[in-house]
Amino acid sequence: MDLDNLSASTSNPWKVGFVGSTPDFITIAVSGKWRTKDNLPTPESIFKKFPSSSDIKKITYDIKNLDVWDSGLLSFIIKLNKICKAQSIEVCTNGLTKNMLSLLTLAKAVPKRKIEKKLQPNSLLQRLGHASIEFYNSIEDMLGFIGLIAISFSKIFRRKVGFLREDLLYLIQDCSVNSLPIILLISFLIGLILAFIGAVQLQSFGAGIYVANLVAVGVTREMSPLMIAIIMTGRTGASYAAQLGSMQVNEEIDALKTTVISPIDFLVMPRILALTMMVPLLCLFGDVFGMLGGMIVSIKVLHISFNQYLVQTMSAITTVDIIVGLVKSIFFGLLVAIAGCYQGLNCGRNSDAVGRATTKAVVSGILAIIIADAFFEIILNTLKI
Amino acid sequence: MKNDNFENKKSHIEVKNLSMAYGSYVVQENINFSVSKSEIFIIMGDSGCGKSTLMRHMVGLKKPAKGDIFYNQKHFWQTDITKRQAMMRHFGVMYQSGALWSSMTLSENIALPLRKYTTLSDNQIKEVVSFKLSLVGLAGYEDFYPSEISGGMCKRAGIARAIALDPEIIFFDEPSAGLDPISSRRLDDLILALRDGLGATILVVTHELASIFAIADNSIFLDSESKTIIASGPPKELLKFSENPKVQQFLTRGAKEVDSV
Repeated sequence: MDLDNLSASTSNPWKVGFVGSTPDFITIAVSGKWRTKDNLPTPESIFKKFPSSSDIKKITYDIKNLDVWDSGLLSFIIKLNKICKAQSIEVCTNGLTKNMLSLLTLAKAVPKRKIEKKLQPNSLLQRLGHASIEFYNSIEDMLGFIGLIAISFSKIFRRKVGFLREDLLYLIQDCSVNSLPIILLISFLIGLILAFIGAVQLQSFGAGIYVANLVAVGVTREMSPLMIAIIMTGRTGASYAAQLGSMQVNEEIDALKTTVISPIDFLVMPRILALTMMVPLLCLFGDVFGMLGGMIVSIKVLHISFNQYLVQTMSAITTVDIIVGLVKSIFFGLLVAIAGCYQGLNCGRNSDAVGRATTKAVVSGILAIIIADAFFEIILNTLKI
Repeated sequence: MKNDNFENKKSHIEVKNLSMAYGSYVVQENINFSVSKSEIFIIMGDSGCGKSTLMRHMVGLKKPAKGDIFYNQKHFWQTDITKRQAMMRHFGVMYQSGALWSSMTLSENIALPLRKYTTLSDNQIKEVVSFKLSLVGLAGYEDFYPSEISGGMCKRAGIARAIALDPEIIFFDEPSAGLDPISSRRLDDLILALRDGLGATILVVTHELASIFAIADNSIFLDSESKTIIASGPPKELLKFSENPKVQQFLTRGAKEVDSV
């Protein structure tokens, strides 16, 4: 009896020994603790340590001194049997208990099936190709989506409103009154920041009073519409994507379709209407609070009087500036709503996909807003407005 | 509404040479079967064989890769969308999880199709909604939101919504999955009552043996390996006469073990 202790170190609770009665037949004696958490050996390493393994024709197991075991032992045995069979060594499992054997048979009960699975692209070139195809398809989808929105919008004028009035009112409340505090705070701070930057620069020319011009024009034409659109993307656009996405996961969108209620009419249209109507309104509030922020800096830091600031502001901006800001806001609101709803409706069918749709809605929403803003500037500049 | 089709001999639903695929991945091919009026028809098969996908094709959510479905001998997919939607109005679909619109109460869920497609007054709608809810054993739950009731109740409310407009064809996607035995039994009774009472044709996707034997008039068995129908007929007869080992194993819960496995 040559009991060879193969436990890697004394700290390991498991033990393997080989008992060879004849040179071509060995018994593998497993003893001690064989649980997944016990730092078990790999079957390959044990196979390598078989005594003169080329002669062995048959193996069996001995578990008399086994203390405790779990599926760690079983997966070890399954793998070792596989290795042995590959080397045309016969495996005899008589030594194992009935419980172990029933689990082993269960594992083999349903044969491994060859399943066709879509291959994930590996090389850089493949991934680039996939991304391009996906991008191309998404443009097509997006244009289709905008077309559907246009059709749905035209239905409103034909008195075929496809959504519920209370839905629209609720959505309007959510993106107006409920968003107002954060919009006011941020607009106020933006005005404040603009005034501070301007104060430092303009004061050195003795032109501190022009802070009023900077703030008034900067806020109404540019900062207020842009910042509000960005906040609404993160707040409302993301929530639209998450709402519609989880409705997709929950088959609620399917239920609408089979009830012959268009999801575009019922879900997308009220969201688009709510945002395009309410963002300009928020923008007006933002204009006022931005200028208020600038005024406070001017009064406290530059010691300009309230009246001076007011007069300077009124001479600086015209109705055109405010209208430019409002028109921008209408477009930005539309873009935020479209990005949110599009990503929500194109969401996959699991919770992971909802998260991705929300991220995409925010990223594509902000991107669309900035690009649109750049276009606006070019157009306004060309038209000299 | 339902009187235009009294030729009971003719099939109500006919599926011809239907192939289903996700991109290049084929789910099932060459599906052919027909369903007579007022029949309870079961689509069964092992998990992942495409039962629910077949239903998605039949209710108009997914376009077939090949072939078509006929309702009252009329093309369903090879026609324009307005005609398809006109046919879809006669469907009621109950989804696996209920798929109730989560922003609305149960009564609003059931009322929505009624508000959209009937000229009933608000009071009349209220009556209909209460009646449909009482049919599925949910009387008194009108003002609850889907998130406030249990999963089984959501399923039953989903049925109430599916039958809101007294559809000609009702589709059930795994109605009894996840229900306790008593609710499951009640659901079977409800399905039978809907057929007998409304004269509806009913299609059920399921693998619950007890329901299959209790309610089925006819059935098909989809196989995920050969990707087509491997047996069709009333389940009780399939149990007695089918020689297909997979069908036997399925209908006997694997009691008749097959050598190949």
